[in-house]
Amino acid sequence: MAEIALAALPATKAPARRAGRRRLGRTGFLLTLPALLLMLALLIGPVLAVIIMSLTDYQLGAAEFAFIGLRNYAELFADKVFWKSLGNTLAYAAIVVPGSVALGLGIALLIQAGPGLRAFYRAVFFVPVMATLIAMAISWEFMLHAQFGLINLTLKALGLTPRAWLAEPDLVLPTLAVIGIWQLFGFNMVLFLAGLVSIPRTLYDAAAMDGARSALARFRLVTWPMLGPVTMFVVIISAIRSFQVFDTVHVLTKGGPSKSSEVLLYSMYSEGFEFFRSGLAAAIAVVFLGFVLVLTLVKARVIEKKVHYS
Amino acid sequence: MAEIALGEIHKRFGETIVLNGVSLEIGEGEFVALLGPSGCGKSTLLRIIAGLEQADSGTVRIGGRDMADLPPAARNLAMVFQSYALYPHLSVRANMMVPLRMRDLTGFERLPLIGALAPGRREKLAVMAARVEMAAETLKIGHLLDRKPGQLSGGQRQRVALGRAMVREPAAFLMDEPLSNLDAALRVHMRTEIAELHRALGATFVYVTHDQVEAMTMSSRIAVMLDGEIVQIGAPAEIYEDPRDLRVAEFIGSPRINVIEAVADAAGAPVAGHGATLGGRFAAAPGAALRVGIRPEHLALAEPARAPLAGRVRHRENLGAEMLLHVAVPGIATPVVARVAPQAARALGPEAQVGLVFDPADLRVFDANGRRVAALARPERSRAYG
Repeated sequence: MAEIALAALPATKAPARRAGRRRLGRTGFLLTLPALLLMLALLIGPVLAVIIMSLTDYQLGAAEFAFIGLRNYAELFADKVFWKSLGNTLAYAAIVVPGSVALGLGIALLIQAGPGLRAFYRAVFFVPVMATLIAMAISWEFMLHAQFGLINLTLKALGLTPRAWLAEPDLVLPTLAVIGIWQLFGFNMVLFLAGLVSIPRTLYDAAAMDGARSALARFRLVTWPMLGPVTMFVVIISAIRSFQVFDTVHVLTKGGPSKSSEVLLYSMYSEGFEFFRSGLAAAIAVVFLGFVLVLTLVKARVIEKKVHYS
Repeated sequence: MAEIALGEIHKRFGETIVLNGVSLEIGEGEFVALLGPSGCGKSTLLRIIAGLEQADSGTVRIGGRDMADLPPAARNLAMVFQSYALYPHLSVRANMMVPLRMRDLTGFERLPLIGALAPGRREKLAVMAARVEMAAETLKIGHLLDRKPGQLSGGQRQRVALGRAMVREPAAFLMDEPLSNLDAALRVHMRTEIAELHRALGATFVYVTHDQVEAMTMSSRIAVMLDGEIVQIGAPAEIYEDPRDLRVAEFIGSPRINVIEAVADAAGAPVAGHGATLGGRFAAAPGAALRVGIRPEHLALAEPARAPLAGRVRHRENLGAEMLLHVAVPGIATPVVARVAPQAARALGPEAQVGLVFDPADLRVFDANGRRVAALARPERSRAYG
């Protein structure tokens, strides 16, 4: 159409029209400029800065630095503590993601099925999400205390053996994961509740007519598939958030005992702000970013196609 | 196939009475339309038959069996929903398979992965697949079997919903306004198809609609529901020509029946507000208030001076094959609508003075409460005037 219109125009008018179109393009660019600048300053800039820093020997407060290529990464990948911390982070996520998703879904189904007090339950289970995790970690510290903690006192009263929850190497990561689940499932629950509300009631009517008699049959035929998009979102968000675990580790264990609760962000923190090796810390941050990027790509590319039905 | 018998069904939602003692007998293989405006309780009645809703009191019997406390799955009914309610994550084939899988496979056989280990499951699935293919063939959706509902048009989804209802050979089909989400042309087409499907299957159909044309064209009997009650039940022609209640007369027929306020004279003939005697004799006490109904197609043009109804043409609607004239008759509140041949009306200018005549045998007379008043002597089929 545009070509035809242009061809039909007298020759003198064509350049004017082309100039007009250029002006339009320039205006469009100018209008997006503020957003572009903000994105550069707040998102892309810092990421680039971290990537560049990971290629230097910069130390916090140092006056000068030199580019050392990939030596930070080489050091990192040769370091047993880094692999330990990466393994711990993955193990933590492997407990927290299924735990918080399953618990969030279970509670959401129970609240949705019950006749009353929905707002009350919703609020109660959402409290851990809103509370400051540092403060909550301190409460957990009291509860988990080996001698006077509420949990061990309860176990003792029941005649069971008390454990040193935060001091035994095999127990510390699962214990932190339970706190992680406690903190996260309320958020997942709210997302699942929103998903449940949006399932058309007629699908349940159709399922009832088609012969789905049990709650399990209804769940498998309607609820679970219809929650697909929500579940995918919840799993990705939970994974990213469990990769970010830091507060509880910092308050409760400082990565110990003997690095058995060392996680990625805590390694980054201690390298960067305790040993002041900012270059190495930046390299850890880049690894972390890589994981988040992969998760986001998985969400965007693979799963999204399979769980959206239209 | 089975007959359905409803006895004294009552249902209220909170303070609102939705169904007020509905009784209805639907014969085997019959096509009954539940017709009424929105909010009259027709959908609730259908859901009570299906078992999706519980009645407060009353009985539902299907094939002679009392359905009290039986869940929908145990009633062997199929339902087609207004929104089609197809499972969006399943292909058309899998959608149509669901009722068969639910009925014919055990819980273990339906399990993912390990269900495949169950002996005989493969054979059962093959039988089901064949039935799905057959139903798809009947509905001409064979080429769509591997698509997802999201990739189908409204009409195709409608067919899939019908197919899902058909595969199981249910005792009866319940349809809840199945055509109201389709565009006008498709609706006309699907009307014929559903009527044909009913003839082919010979099954009992209960069809809820607010569209009188659907009810008139498809069903063997219409139950007109108003305010939670069945006001009249009968064949479409009977409902149209012999309404027992003014509300039925007003609800059926487009354009609406003309209603003229009148008073009975000593002989039982209605006298309209402007003083003209409308003709006929009816079982009404002298002086009783009457509401006289006359359908637009029963009015004909005549000389104003000799006609019982005369006035100015306020508005003309040319529908091609016919013309609707809105005539303002002095002494009658609303314009009287007449359906006349366009040739006859074309000569009339705007605001033309016209007379309208009719055969008194075509009058449907109701009392002040809207109940039908019987004609005393059936007047001879001749124009009283003109």
